Amino acid sequence: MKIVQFMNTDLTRVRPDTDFATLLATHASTETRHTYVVDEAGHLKGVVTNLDMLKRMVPSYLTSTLASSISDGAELIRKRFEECKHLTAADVMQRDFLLLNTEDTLIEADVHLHEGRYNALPVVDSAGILVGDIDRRVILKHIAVDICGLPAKA
Amino acid sequence: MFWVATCIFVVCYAAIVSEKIHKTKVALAGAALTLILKVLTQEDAFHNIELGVDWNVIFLLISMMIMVNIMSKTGVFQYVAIKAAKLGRGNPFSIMVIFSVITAIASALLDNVTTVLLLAPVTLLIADELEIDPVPYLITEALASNIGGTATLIGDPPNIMIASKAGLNFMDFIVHIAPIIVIIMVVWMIFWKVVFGKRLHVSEKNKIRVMAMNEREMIKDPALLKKSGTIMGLTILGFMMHGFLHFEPATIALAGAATLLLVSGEDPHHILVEVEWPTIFFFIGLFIIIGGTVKAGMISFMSQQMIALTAPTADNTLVLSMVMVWFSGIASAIVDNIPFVATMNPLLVELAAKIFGGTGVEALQHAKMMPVWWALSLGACLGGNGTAIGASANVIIVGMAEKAGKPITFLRFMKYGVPVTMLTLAISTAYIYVRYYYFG
Repeated sequence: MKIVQFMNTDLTRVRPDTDFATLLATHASTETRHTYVVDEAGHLKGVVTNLDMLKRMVPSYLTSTLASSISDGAELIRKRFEECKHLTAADVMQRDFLLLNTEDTLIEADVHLHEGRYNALPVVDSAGILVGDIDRRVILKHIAVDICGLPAKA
Repeated sequence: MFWVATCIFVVCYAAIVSEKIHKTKVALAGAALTLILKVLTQEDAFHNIELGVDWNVIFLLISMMIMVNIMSKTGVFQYVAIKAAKLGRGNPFSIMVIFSVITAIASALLDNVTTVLLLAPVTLLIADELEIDPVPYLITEALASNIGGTATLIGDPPNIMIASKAGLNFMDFIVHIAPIIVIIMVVWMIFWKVVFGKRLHVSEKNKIRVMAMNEREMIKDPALLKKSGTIMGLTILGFMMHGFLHFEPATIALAGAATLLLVSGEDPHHILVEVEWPTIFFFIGLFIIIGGTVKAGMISFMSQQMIALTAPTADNTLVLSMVMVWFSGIASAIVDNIPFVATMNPLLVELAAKIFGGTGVEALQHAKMMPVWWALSLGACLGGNGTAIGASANVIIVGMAEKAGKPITFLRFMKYGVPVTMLTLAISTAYIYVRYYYFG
């Protein structure tokens, strides 16, 4: 079973020069956990996850123990936002990530996701153009309904 | 064998200084070559006290790392740091002084890297809350950790090595080194007051943010804190009495680490994984390389050169001590002080044998030899403050600052480090002269 048959194609795409505030607003307003950074031709250049954005909004030195000492962290987060404002999607994105190909199979995608503990992986065609992504829920749904024959819930 | 041992030593030293290859890889490769080329036998390397691995140093380091790893999980260091910042009422210079003192005391009892790793995040947070540049605070912390670590036998690896080689005990360092470290801290803070006193300003609003921080949240495991605090206290008491009890420091530390592992309930796998094994194996490799140079006669040759240069006699080692402070200080600012002291230790043993006769405690702890050991300790430990690569704590601080988006350039570190190094070495020189030669 090829992943091209059931991958998500409704993706959030941004350009490398998208500013940080727009990127934050995009992540805050869409259901997707990933934003894909593509060039004009649609080649995938990088990935920004919700986790990447969350990490950017707090100082890197802050541990969970240390965070519990702060009475109100809103000021710290606002300060981080001001410090990050000059950044673009190209500065924030992950450049080193795993790519799936449209010819890859469901079982390959399943193993890649759990081996790397990814939430989702992008799918590109033979020209490197982003065409979709595969996430954990999509695979589970496909396994449950199409392979194991369980009833689909609305 | 002289030239084989010398070549291995010089090539390894150059490779360590260049930092192109990890120093542990270099030390282990050099040790392997020393054994394969039969400069040392395996019997020499593993079982000979004069030539081989100093297991007292190795087990003291491993045991202290185990204890510190367990204790760091309690959150006590972060608690003390936040409490201290509140004691300083959010005043930026008061916080700088209090943090320096805390770092120095913690570094005297624990290893410097752990101290700065635990305190630097709190420093960054408080600087953020006060909206001030954290860099002066971070560099001050690195400098304080190196100065504080000099005060005790267990505070800095060079002291552990010197103590083991010269047969010195914990109280020797408390009596001879700790007093001058207290003086150095006081003079340094006065100097820092002149430099920073009028430059650090924060608004009342930001001070209130610091005062609102809740330090009690830092203590994650009060039961573990009680257990580890008690055992650490007993271990330090053991260090103070180890000469009287006729135990080596490693025995005391091993007893403390084993007891804490038993009572803490921590998984030994997790605790042992966090031991800095690369550092431990660096020491092991280094001991074997240096043992090779001792056996081949290179150290004996170097000691003759040093005697010719400083002309020490059984009655007068003043020039040797003075040269030792500055030579060790400058060398340690440029190269890692661990290989430096590993080289100087056997050299001073040879030198003591030539001047005072014999290689026993009488020669090593001769009244005129003791200031030379203290000069080596002060020079090697304090010299590390000179540059960003002079001590492990400096490297950690620079790395953490960069990760936090506040990069510290090599030159900026030197701007703080060089004056402090010069000041502390000058005070050390005066101290050794006055205490051991003028009054001694």
